[in-house]
Amino acid sequence: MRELSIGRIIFLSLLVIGCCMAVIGLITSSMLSSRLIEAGKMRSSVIASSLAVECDDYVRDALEDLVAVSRFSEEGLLRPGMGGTFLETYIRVNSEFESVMELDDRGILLNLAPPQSEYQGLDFSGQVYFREAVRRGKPYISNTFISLITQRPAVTAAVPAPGRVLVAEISITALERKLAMFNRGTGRWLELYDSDGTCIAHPDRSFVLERRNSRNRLYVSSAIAGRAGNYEITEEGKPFIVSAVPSALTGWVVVVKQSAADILAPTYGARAAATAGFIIIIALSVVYFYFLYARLLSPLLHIVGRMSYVADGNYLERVEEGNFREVNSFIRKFNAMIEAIGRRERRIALSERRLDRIFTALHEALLFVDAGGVVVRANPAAALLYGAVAGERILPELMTLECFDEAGRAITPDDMNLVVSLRTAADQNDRVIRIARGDMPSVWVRESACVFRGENGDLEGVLLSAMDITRLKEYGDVLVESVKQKEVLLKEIHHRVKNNLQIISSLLSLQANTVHDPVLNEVIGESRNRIRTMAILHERLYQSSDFSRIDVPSYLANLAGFIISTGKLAGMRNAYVVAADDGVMSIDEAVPFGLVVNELISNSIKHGYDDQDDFQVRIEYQHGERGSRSITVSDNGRGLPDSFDIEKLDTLGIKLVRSLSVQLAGSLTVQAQTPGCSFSIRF
Amino acid sequence: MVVPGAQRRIRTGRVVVALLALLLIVPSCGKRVIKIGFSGTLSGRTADLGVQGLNGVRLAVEEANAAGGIDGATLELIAVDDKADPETARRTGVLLAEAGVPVIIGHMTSAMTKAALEVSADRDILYVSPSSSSSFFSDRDDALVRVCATNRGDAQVPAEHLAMKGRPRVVAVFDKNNRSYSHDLVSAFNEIYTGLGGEVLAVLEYDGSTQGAAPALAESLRPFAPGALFLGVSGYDLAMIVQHLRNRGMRMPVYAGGWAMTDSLLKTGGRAVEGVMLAQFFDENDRSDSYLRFKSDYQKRYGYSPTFASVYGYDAAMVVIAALRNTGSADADEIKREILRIRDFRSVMGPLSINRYGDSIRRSLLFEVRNGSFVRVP
Repeated sequence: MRELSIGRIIFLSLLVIGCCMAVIGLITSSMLSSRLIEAGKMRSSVIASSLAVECDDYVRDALEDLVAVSRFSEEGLLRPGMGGTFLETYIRVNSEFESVMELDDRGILLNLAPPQSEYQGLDFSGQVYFREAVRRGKPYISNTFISLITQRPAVTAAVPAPGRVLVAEISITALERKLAMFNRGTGRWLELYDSDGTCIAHPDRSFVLERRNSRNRLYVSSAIAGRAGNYEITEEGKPFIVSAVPSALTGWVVVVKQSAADILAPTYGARAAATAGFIIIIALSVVYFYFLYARLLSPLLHIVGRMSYVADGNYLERVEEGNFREVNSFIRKFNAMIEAIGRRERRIALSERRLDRIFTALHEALLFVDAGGVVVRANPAAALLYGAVAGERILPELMTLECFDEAGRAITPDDMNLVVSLRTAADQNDRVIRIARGDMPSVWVRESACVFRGENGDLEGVLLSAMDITRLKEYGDVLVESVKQKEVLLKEIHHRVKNNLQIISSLLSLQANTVHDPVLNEVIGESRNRIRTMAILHERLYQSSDFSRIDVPSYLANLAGFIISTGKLAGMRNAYVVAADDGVMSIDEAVPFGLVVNELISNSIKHGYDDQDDFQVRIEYQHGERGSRSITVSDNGRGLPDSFDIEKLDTLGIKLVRSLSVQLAGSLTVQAQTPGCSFSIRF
Repeated sequence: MVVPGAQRRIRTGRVVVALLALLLIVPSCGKRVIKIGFSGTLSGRTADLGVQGLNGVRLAVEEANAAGGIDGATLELIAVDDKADPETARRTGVLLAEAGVPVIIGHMTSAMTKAALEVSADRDILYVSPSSSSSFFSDRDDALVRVCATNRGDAQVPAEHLAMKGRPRVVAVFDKNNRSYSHDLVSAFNEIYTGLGGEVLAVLEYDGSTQGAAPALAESLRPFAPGALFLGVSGYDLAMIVQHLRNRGMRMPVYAGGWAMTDSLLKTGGRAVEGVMLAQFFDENDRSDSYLRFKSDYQKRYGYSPTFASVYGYDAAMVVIAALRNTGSADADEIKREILRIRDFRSVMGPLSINRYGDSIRRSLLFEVRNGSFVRVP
């Protein structure tokens, strides 16, 4: 929506009102002026026409008088010499005549009034008026000229008569005077031009004396051409209304001129009133606008100014309250808003500084790149690692890197985490790569790329983080090597322990071969089995992957197989069954566990076997609830005697079973079954 | 700190102020005006010369203004009437100088020009005379430039023609009222004709302003019984004198200077002036393009044909306008220097050269009145 300014609306409204009033005033004034001008033209036209008629009448009367004189000439009353007296008397009576000549048909002067001897007998045949009168055979009126007698404009009239031509110089002075009277105090003035456009009557006498020619003026030339008309002209910067009318007889042009200012004088009052009204409205508008500006708009604009302070990050400025309650309410809210924004901005700034500090202090390289690949932020580690500079594109810098994965394969820039994230807009998880840059030593980093999205979900940028793990990787290699060495060593130890135990077991076997006492042989055999049990355990240990735990099922299978193979059941098919759940066991548990199992299997064979063919020892290892486990050794032999009480038995085997059960934190359970019996330890 | 919106308001304010200033300034931006003056006899018996000269000047000024003026400046012509009176001629020069006019085209007669130059030394003013042909002004470094031929040319042609016709004895007449021109012309004729072996019986003074001067002159010539007459008078006076000569049966050839070669001579003289010989630079029957164009423009402007005074007036104005166009200055000295520098101009009747004294060099022609018009004698 377009934003509107209150001040401008008010100002424009006032201006429009003022302009409308001015336009109305001007239109009214213009219409009035137009009417007045038209009326002025009409009046001037009427006056010019009447004056043209008057000019014609003046010349016509003079001509008729001359024609009357010519009759005297025809009747021979104007004889040479005597006629002069008559003519002299005649021109005294008729003031329009300055001089009268009687010429014969050759143009020779016969009579002249007033008399001038030097003209007597002269030839006037060269004069146009004589030639034209003779040629036409009717009266002729010459064009105007400046009379040598009066120094004023005059015309020559020539009237032909039989054998004579009467010539009179007709002064238009009388006509000029009459016209001059018209010029006085009327607000108009009259100009008269002959048929050549030469001025013959004008308020400025120099126009006449200098024979000024105004044929170049449209109104004069048009009238000379016979077209009367009204004109609005400008002369010397002033407007005039002109009416130009040609006279029918002489072809002279009567011009009535009136100043347009005089004609329009009545409108000046109205114009002045309209102008004054307009000025007053404008003045009031200015005052009103000033009031609005000073009292209402100024505080608002002040607030706007303070808003720009806020926009520039200055939250300390406050707007002073003014005179208007509504405006003050707005100002208080505005100030509170600035306060709140200021607090929030300070918190953000603090957070920003912390973030910046963290960002800078981190040894891990952090690099934020916008969606276009331009580095927005890079901490010193990133600058060092990637050569990243804020504000510059990162791809050219990546091109200078040589990267390899852990297998030593080269990684192209297109396959680097950052580039892939920018391309796919997806996070890239940890990847260990080696980066070599220029002459700097290559480093191992753990690199990951995290995608940032804007509010609309579009990719905003990618944060690339890289941890330098070169040292860790070096330490790891050392440790692995060390572990390998220790594994070898441990394996060797277990191996040697097993071997030693086997040697002991073998020695006991040899020893037993030299002893013929069955009891002793049995004791030696039991001891050898116990040693063998531990030897198997160490064998399992050095064959295991981590040398500290054994696989329980295979251990039980080995152990049971060994015990069965060395006793009375050796060679018997299906003499034992091992049913064990999968599981491992630490060496701390495995030793007592193996010894217990050895004792129980040995006891089953020793006490349960009754030379039956289907005798079978069953070894079960199960996982119970809450991490508990159980080992059960049972057989289908002769079973327990009725007097069997395990607490009262004092054999080494049973003692070992009880003490090893305690060592395993287990509980021993003995059950008689048909046939056979079952010993079970839950630990 | 500028309040947002305030800058726009300031800009709007500036525009309003600029518009108001423009409204105030525009009416006062009138066109520059360069004033030039015209002084000549515009009333009385010899007004014909001044009026026709002024018409030529006015036509040139109107053409120049219609073509854009002088570097945008409008020429304003101020015309004054010297009334053929030396004192008036002096006074008009002062008045025009005080009105800020640097150059005056005029006067039309040598007598008036001589009077006007007497006061020009005190004023920064230049006269460019269309028709002051007296040798009195020749070879003088004064405030005068002339576009007409000098009297010597007007005197030489009749003298040579008379010499060719058998060297009749001649009586010469000069006009008392235009003595500077007229006496100079007659003196030049006397000198040249005598030099050609002719004889000048007498040099008579004529005052046309007195009643009966023409018949009196005719009577006074009778005792000399001259074989020919040479007159340095106006056209009207020549017509009157010749009429009275012919009425008295005196048929001797009559020669006159160019001043008399006007319509007034033909009208007033009628049949009596048939055969009168006149020396003049101007040929009204000239067929050159420049003259025909000028004649057409003149007739269109004034409704009648131009005379030699019209042509000289026009030429004088064109010389002044050319100098103003080049200098752009309204200083009389600079205008004169520029005219002398240009030296060669194109006039209505052909090339016009002005020498370092401001005198023009033109060849006069001989005309005869035949059937009421001037016919060039080969």
